[in-house]
Amino acid sequence: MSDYSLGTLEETILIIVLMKEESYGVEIAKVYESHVGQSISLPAIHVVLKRLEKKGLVKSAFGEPTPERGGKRKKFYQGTPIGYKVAKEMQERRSKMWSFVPNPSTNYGLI
Amino acid sequence: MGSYKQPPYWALKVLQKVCPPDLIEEVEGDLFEAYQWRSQEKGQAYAKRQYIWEVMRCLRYFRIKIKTQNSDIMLIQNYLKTGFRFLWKTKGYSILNILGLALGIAICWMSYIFVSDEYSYDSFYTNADQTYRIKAFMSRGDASKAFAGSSYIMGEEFPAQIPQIEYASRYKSGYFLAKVGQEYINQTTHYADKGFFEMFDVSFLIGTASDFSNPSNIVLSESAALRFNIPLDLSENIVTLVGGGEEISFQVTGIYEDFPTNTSIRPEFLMPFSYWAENNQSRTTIWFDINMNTFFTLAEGTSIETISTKMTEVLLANDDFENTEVAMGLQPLTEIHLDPNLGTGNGINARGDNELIVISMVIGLFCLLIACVNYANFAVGNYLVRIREVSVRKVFGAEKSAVFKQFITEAFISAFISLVLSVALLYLLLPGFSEYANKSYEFSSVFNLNTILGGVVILITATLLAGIYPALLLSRFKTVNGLKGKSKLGGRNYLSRGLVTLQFCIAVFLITGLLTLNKQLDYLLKYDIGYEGENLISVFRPMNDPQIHATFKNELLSISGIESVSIASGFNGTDYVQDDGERVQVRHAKIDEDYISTMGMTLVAGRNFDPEIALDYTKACIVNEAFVKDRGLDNPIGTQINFNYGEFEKPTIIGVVKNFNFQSLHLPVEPLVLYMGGYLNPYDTQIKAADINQELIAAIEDVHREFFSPYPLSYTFAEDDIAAQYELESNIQRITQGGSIIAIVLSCIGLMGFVGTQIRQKLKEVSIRKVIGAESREILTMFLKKYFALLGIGVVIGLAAAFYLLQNWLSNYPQHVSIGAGIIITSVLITLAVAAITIYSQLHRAMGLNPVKYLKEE
Repeated sequence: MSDYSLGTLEETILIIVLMKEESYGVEIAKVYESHVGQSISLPAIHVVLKRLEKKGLVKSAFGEPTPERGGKRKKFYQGTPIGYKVAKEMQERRSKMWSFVPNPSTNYGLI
Repeated sequence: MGSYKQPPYWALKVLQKVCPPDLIEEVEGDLFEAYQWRSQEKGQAYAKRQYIWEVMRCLRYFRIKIKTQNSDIMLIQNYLKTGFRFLWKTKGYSILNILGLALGIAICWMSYIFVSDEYSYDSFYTNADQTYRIKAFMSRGDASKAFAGSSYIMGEEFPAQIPQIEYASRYKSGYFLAKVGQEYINQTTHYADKGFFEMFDVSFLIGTASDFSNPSNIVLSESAALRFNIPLDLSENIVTLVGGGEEISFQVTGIYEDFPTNTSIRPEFLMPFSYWAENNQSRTTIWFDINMNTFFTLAEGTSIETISTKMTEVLLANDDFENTEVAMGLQPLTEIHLDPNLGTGNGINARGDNELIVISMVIGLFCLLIACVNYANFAVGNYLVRIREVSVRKVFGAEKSAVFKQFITEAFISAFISLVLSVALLYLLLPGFSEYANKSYEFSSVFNLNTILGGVVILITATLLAGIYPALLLSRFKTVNGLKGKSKLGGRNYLSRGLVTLQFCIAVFLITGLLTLNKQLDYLLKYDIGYEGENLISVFRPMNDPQIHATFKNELLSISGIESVSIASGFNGTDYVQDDGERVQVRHAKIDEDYISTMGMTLVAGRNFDPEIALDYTKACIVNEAFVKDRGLDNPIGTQINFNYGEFEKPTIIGVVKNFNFQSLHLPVEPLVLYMGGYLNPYDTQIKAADINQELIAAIEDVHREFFSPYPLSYTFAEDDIAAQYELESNIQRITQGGSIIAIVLSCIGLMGFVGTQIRQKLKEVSIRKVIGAESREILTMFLKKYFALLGIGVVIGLAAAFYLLQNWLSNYPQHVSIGAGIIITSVLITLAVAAITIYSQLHRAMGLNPVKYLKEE
């Protein structure tokens, strides 16, 4: 799956989308803030979502208009099977790489 | 819905503007929701800030929107691309064209800077709209006179009796010697009242004006404080002035920010009127002693008429004018700078010159017009090669309006590049211009919002002027003809010809104007002003003591090289009543027996004063020709007049002096009475020398020091003074000269482009003529004939306009030249010669061409 190169933010947002069946902009922002601990601007999320959608990793659909959105419809994003696969592979690859990192208490102190 | 907080409306609008439709719903909804959420968690201010920030972040969508949503903008991108390509393809012409346009824009821009600066005078004060200066009218019989100014008591009583006056301040200039360290310098000061500080938004860096009524307190501007070494914390605050022969210490109680340059009121050294009143007790109670300015700020909604009537009533209740009608009035503060009818002085800075404004506007607009016409003519010629492109565009569905837009866009590209270049030109031209316009424009400071706005207006005007004609022509071109390759423009191109005619009309107008201006100025400089300014030195030094007066004069006369010396007073104005009740207005001055010879004046009748005759000091006067004419005296010598000034009264005329210009040379000579007695203080020492050199001045300085130390010698050369009177004219002349030359150069560039284009279209015709046997000379005549007809028309119209306008202008001068045949012939010849050279430079190519080259193409 090396065709898909994802930036860190793209990867994070993709994982957040995959967490639930469907989620939308503000929700993603909230989850991001609670997990990452930094605030993020909505346009940044929108841009990333558009990119992910273009790459076929997420898909979107409009929901119903609600008053808390000023009468606008929500746009729900959902991870695609490819999205799931790409994200999963990245995590595995990373865990595998991490397993080669030696324990700091044994090596670093000796050099 | 009502329970939801609404995000800032404008930000929402911006968002809707920039977001493409497929994004807007999601983004707007998300932002709205986030706004609710954030205002709950972190407060509304935070939410609002964040909302606006995120809308700004959304601006990035704008590019997507215009790329995908707006075919017009897409097209403009295409126009820009083809426009730049074409500019690049025809580099040579483009450079010439754009440089010409840049020059036109630079000149126009500069005149905009100047004119808008002149009109911006005094309008920036908070109370500018409600602030006025007192003026007065006097009329008696047919004669009436309006003048600005007031008396001390008017400034005291009017505000006290008229409740609508919110702030009031008198304003007057004073002159002192100021002591800085061990040096004495001349310092202009201004008297003001407390209201001044409110009225003119004076902002204090330190201190206040609250103690300003105390006669020993003063306030300084920042730059004056610097000059007097007064630190900004006022830890040292004593300034020493010399007044009435003794040194007086003043305490600086405040330092204020310097006034901006575009105001008529720029005091740097303010003293309270209480000081003036202490020293001029006698003048504080006279109602009609007009010697200062008074400003009022009226309550909002007060009409000038009401206040004027009230002021007149108050005045008439306190003073009697017999059969002279007197009325008070108000002049708006913002009109002071450019109203030619009321004088300035007494603390009000010199007025702007309306003539210079008109001239620079005319030159600015002409230069822009000529440059745009050039561009249009060039463009039409050059665009012939693009007819095929236009036709193809049309075949693909472009409408006329689209083609029109395309060429306007191209004009805009050129105009924009020119605008950028003109900034560089401004950098070069501004120092010279500001010197001649008596301004201190700095390149770094003239670029304020207003200037940039002016630049934008000029840019749009230039785009339209330059682009409309080619755009119209090309958009109307028949598509089929274009595709067939018939590249000749339809019609006989009357407009192009008309434009060239117009340019030469303007050029001949400017040349005629310039020549007339030169002639008038020469005339003025050579005009007999009634006295000899050559080698004449004026020393300014008041002297009360007649003893000092006499010995100072003798000491000066003992310096070798000095021919004669006279000590006189200035020229004052007064009036007296004749036996028949008529009130006569005259100027008067106290002179001595050497005045007429020192000044090189001529007596046309009677005799000079004789110091041996005692009566000459008390009962004799010399009048000027204007006086004799004004009074209608057939036999002036021996006539006794009712003139009086103080103890000097009822003198008999013993001589008549030829008219001499003792005031501005722009004014007619007024009736004048000269006498030796009276109590006027002499302060003007005139020294006639054989030759002026450094040693002479040093010798005069020595004598002066001996008598009047510590005062520095303050002197001028009469010749300089006379020249200074014509400073305005010579500045106008230089500006006109510069502007006209640029306009003429631009016209030539235009003619070159026009002729060049036409000849390129006719190379084939010329080739055939040559093959048949025409000679170069015949071809030259053929073309010249064609263009000279155009020029002829332009020249005639230009001359007519110039003649009409210049006659009007010349009639402003009491003495003036006539335009005359010489000027007309010269300007026509110059124009035609320049035109002929330009045309020849282009024809040269056609005459020398090898016919084969152009004929074998087909």
